[in-house]
Amino acid sequence: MKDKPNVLEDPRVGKILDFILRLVSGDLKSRETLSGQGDDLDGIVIGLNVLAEEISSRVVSLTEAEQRLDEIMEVIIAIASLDYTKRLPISDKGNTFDAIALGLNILGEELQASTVSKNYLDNIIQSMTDMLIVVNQDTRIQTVNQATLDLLGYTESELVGQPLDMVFAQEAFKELGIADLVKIGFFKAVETIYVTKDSRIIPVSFSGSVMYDKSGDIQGIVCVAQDLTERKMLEEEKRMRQEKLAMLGQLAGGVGHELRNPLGAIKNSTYFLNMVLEEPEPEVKETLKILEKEVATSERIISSLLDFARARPPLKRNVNINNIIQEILSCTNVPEDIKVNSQIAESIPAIMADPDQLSQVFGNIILNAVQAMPEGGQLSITSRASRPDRIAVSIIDTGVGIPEENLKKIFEPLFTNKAKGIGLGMAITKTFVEGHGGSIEVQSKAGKGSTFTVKLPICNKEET
Amino acid sequence: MEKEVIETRTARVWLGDDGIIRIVALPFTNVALESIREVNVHLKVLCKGKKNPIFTDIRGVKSITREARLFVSSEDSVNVCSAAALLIGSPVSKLIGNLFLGLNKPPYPTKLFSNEDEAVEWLNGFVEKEEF
Repeated sequence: MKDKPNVLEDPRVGKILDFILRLVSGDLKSRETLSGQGDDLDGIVIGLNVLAEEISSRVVSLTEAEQRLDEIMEVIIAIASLDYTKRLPISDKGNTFDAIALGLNILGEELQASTVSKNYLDNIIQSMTDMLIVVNQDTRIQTVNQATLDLLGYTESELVGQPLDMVFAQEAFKELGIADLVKIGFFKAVETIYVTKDSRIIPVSFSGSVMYDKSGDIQGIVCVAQDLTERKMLEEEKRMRQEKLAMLGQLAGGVGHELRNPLGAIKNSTYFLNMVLEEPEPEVKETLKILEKEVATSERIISSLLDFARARPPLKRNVNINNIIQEILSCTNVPEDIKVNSQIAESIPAIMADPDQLSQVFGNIILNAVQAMPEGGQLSITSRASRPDRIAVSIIDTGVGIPEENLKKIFEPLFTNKAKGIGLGMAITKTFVEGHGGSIEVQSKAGKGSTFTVKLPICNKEET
Repeated sequence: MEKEVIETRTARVWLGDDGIIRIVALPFTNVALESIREVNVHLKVLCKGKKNPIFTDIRGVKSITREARLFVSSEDSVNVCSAAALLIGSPVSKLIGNLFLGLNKPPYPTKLFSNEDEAVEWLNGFVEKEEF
């Protein structure tokens, strides 16, 4: 019987052992070729090749691991530096490194998406014209917007971390009652006073609202303050104007009454003289005429003073504005060199108004327009329904116009640029128009003429 | 009855005899919004206006975009899905499954499985039984 050959003496064993050593040292790409004998040793080689293939597909080589770790570190550093745009490649192996890479990519996407919305929110806060201050639960300032810095004159670092009361005027913060705000949850439009860095006072309308976190605990307070400086100035101007008007009204009333009697006496005396003097000399006749004319002028001035002083509420009836304007035009002495262009809408609805007061309104405006054209020109009158509930009447002249510096003053009592009259006509006009719930506007340029527009509401009920 | 298997760019989709919809992601699939929408169109046809439990094998998914994840939790998806079982295997698919559950919080019952039989058994509880 022949001895079986010793397998261990087969030279292929050495090659197989080398192959195993290569695999163990990490060279998973290594493969061994078959001898083609189809024996046990070839079987072992096949097994080892398959094993290498399987391990290679699942295990990452050291070099690849180092490289992927480097890439991962780069992205982590980028994210920590607020750069959320870097992405990692993902291989087809779907192994742990791929999972980490995918996780970091998704993290970058989510952070990028939230940054976009954060930037958008930041933009909204910084674009606000009202002052925004956010404080924490200890009422220390956490966030301020640009409007706050601009109006109060601080830098962000000067405000953040400081107590909220630093922006309030003395006592104003105490009066506000932050403890009450926390209890109720919000304050709406409370008037209070902020103080700037250079100690100027700013009246504000303050609204505050408590912020809660997800567990319902107080996270802070959002404070929004609207600067009321301009509104307060306008209110003060209005109050002063009203006081002035009231004083003038009293004065006007007093003067008017006092002058009526002596004027009456002069008028009667003139009338008597006209009666008793049968054929007065031309000079005397002329003088008496002047006297009558000036008495009439004085009476008109006194009537204006009394109208201004009395300013009764309008007694409203159903009136057609077109009829009032036609009547005024027919009574007004319009020189021949002034062309009248009337574009009155026939379909204009009737309005509830005091016809006497409106006659005075449009009479004043038309008279002023005629007087503004001493060398002739064009007078245009239009009427239209400007809204479903309003009509508008415009009176346009091509006269001398009103200088810009006088435009704001023409409705003030006692303002006049005429030689005659005491400047109450437009003040009365404005009072009558506003008494009807309407408005009057003027547009004018010196040398180019003026447009007065009166807007009046259309009401339904007749008042008695 | 031979079931109709629909092949899209990224998955194979069919309705099983047990009333459970099957979606199997093709290998090395990058899932974007367009591919999800494509699958959703077929789901609507298969579901015929009803909500069905859906078994999804995501082991072949390599990556998924944010828009695709958001779409799967949106109204369009909710209208066809009564419950979802995700079959995971590789670390990547495990990450995707967990991210979907944790970040996108689908509004229907969703569970991750590493075994298909267990997944199907769980979904059977959501199959609407026909009444006679």
